[in-house]
Amino acid sequence: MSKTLSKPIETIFDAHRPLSQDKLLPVLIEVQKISGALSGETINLIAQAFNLSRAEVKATASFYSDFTDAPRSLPNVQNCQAEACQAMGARDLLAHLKDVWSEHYDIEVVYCLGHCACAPAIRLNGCDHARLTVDRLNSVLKV
Amino acid sequence: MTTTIFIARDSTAIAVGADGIAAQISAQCDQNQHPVQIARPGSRGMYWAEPLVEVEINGVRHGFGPVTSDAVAGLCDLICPLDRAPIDPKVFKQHPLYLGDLSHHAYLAAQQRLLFARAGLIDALDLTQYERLGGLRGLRRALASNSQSIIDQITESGLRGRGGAAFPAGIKLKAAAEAEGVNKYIVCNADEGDSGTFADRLLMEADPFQIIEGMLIAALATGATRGYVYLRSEYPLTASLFGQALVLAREHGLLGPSIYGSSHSFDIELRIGAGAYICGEETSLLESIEGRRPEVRSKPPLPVHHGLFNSPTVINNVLTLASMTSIMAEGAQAYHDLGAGTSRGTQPFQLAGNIRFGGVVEVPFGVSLRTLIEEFGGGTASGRPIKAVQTGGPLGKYLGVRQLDVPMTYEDLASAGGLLGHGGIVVFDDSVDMAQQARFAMAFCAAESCGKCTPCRIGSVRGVEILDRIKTGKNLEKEIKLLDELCVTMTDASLCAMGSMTPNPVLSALTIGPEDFGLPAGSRHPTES
Ligand SMILES: Cc1cc2nc3c(=O)[nH]c(=O)nc-3n(C[C@H](O)[C@H](O)[C@H](O)COP(=O)(O)O)c2cc1C
Ligand code: SF4
Ligand code: FES
Repeated sequence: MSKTLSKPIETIFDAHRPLSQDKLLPVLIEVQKISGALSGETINLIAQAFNLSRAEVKATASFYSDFTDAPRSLPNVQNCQAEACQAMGARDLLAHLKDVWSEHYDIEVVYCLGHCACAPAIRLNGCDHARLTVDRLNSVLKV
Repeated sequence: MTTTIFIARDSTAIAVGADGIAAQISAQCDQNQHPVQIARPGSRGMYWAEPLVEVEINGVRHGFGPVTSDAVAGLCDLICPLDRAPIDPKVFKQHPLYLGDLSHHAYLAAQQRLLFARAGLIDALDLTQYERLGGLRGLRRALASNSQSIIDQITESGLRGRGGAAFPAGIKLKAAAEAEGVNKYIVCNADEGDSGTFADRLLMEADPFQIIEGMLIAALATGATRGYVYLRSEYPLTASLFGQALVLAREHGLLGPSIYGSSHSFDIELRIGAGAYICGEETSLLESIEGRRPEVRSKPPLPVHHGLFNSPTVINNVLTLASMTSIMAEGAQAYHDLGAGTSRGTQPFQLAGNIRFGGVVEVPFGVSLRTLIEEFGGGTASGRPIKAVQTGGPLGKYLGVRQLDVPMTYEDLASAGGLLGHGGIVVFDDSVDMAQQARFAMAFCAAESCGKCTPCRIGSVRGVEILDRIKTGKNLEKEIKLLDELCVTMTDASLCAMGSMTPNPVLSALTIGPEDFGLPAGSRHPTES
């Protein structure tokens, strides 16, 4: 168990004590945020701290799409592919992303960012861009 | 004199550039040496006009929008002229982006806003402004009355749940009030996963105290002492603003051991999801808060009896809880006077997708879908004819152009086979491929199924496969029959609406666009479309 990993995680645990099961999701969210992933090792630490089985923690974490096993190596683009964005050309946007930008970005499909009145939308490293066209997408991704 | 300029601090406004426009205007005003104050309220929900810049002159807010960064310099010549030259609103008219005095703008003037009455007008985090525009009146009346009379008011108002199932809100409060249990909970469902919906988000960002006030009223009605707001993780700005509102509410004694000096105690915890559509389903949501794998629970027991931590729990949508504030403030009758049939009050409809004037339109139930799309929405954004409209989110049916005159009430939509749900309206023009939409509905179900029951978990995967085979055009008749049978199984044998209602968009897509499936036009249930 690497010390550099467990130290900040201990701090998260401390902020949520006593570690009853209803604190599990907030803890998972914070750990994912600081470590960029929920590795097998981290899952072990969390299971121990909550006195839960590893399988229980894994089963919970794996249910949610926000959690990853390993940190992303490229900047993340979340591309909305839900209905309102589809109605405004989101599928073409995704095809373009895959064709042109997949070497530079980690492309993830999500369903609805809440910008459906200004579709289509993406979230680039946590920053949202709506009312997109292929040209606007290119200029957003270039910088 | 300092000029006040309003630019929304709102997730969508920011996604179309509001922060950049605010910074640019501020810099330009400095350069012009014109003293301005830039205020950042929530959005009015006229998203088509965002980034919307409002300048206040003699108490009138003049709007310009949507403002692009190229337009800022020209706009600043008018609204913050060089060396404090006087501002002349009469010349505003010449500006191509000028929208006039916003309080008289047709998009807003034709609405009847209860929930969104303050949105965009007040600083979302200023409790004094909230109170000045009618906030806290409902709570004061609730504090001065008792549990039974609050329940009576909510029941008599005819308020029904705005999250999807349209369950009468008064009955739920009553059941929770009568249920045995020391700790009772009010859970506010802000998971808002339906595509085409954003009213919860907008309200939480623009008028968060209204939701807190609504939860307090529900707490007084039931004797609950703790509340949770479950917010989807896709809304980080909402989380930040609502979290700040909770802190302020505690500081002002609105939340805590003694609400406004009374003997009632209530506090609210904000919980964030982690990317799962099914967590909007109420029992999955409870499992999620409890820290378990959020599979849907079988009912009974109902959450009002055995809900969060096995205690009596009221789960309501953001808009349902917020509506309780105006019902308590104005009385049940005033609310019940609005609407049609058993759909009482107002509904914030959300115009989305291929629509010219997308945004929130809050009007009494009973307005026709056509009025919403054509008169408020201005038709499609592309200018092409409409082919399909999906109401009520991803589990709602696609309606065809011949169904647009349906009055927007729970009953009328249901008899047209549609769904009102959370009030989302997603418009598609004639370039849509309905077979692709049907496939998406199955794929979405496969991706978001909680996996507890087979018809949903496996059926949706089989559905995608059948639709892929239909696309090849081989054995068409046999495959369509198989699809019909699969849909019957999913409808009849799924535990929750995720599995049982996915057939809605699938089969209605087939009705509206049989040609997209390789079938002759009008070949499917011609009477229905
Ligand atoms: C798959 C699924 C997703 C749902 N998502 C939401 C949601 O995001 N927000 C919501 O308020 N209700 C949602 N619901 C409805 C809730 O289960 C529940 O009926 C609602 O929160 C009750 O509140 P209300 O009576 O105020 O509508 C969903 C239901 C299902 C089956
Ligand atoms: S219908 Fe689907 S989402 Fe609902 S309980 Fe069954 S498997 Fe879970
Ligand atoms: S559907 Fe894409 S933002 Fe809502």
